[in-house]
Amino acid sequence: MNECPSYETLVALWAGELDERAAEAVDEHLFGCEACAAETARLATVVGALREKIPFVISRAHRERLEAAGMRVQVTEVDRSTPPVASATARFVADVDLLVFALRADVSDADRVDVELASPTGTPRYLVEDVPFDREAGEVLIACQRHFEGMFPDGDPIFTVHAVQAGERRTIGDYVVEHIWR
Amino acid sequence: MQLEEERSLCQRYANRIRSYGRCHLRDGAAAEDLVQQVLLVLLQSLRAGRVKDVQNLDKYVFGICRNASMEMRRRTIRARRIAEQSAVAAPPEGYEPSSPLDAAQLDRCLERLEPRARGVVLATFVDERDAQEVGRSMGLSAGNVRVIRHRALAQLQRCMQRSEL
Repeated sequence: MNECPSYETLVALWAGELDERAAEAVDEHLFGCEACAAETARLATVVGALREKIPFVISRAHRERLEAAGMRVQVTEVDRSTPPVASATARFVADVDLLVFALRADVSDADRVDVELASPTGTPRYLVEDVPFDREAGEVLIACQRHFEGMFPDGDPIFTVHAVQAGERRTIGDYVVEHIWR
Repeated sequence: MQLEEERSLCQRYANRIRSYGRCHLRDGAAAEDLVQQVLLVLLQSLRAGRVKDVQNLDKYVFGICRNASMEMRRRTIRARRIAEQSAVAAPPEGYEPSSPLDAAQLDRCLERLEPRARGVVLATFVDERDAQEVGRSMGLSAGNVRVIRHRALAQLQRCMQRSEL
């Protein structure tokens, strides 16, 4: 590749969306081009730091690793609610680094669990497929971080847990936590 | 090769190898290991006169980097601490580890992104979902996700650079 790749191409490389041949051509170019190497180094710093961030849904082992590393985690137990209204409250006080919502759900027969995070108005809505879950404890852990503030401007998000078994998806229930950000 | 020349080579290639490692190994610590390993192999090859075409060093370093990275992936990334060689050897002259990005500042810059853009960035690089998956989960086309994604990353970079000033 002689031409400098576009910024979009660099981002696609970082997102793992280029095929092997295209990725190799871009990589080789980056080793020989001063300007592209500098641009990529800046991108690397931001994407590298993003990859260190905690996912929306974590496993119990992940939570324990975070606590062992000194992160101050506050866990809130959350039960289903019908209709979806807040059944728990969690406050992001100064001495808490991470809020974890332990959604109680019977996922004992699930092959896979998906979690939907949606604004009360329906938009924005995120579906996170194949999340970690604890079959025995009946638990799905949502990791709520400070930079999520404002992601759901129309109110506290509704977390919907779905269990997938033998290819069929069924809804376990809706969960709402009243967030107090400060 | 003089020590000064070696130091200058290390400075020239360290960031490129680091970027390559972060991109393909998806692990900051593994990327640092890769930098050290590749630089050591490069310097040893130069000292032993094994580099035939010194004028085309970029390609040569890229080759070492790609092979070392593939080897690391075979040994599974997260197990890291790759070759014992790089664990026991002193880092080459001119090698400097990257300075970590201010995580709190990154959070503040993330908060400034429009909610949908923030969701796309987090789903892509934290949850490791591709544009198709992100699009499906958010009711957007994959093309739309890509546009939102690169604009959001550019905005994040600008925000982080401003805060460094």
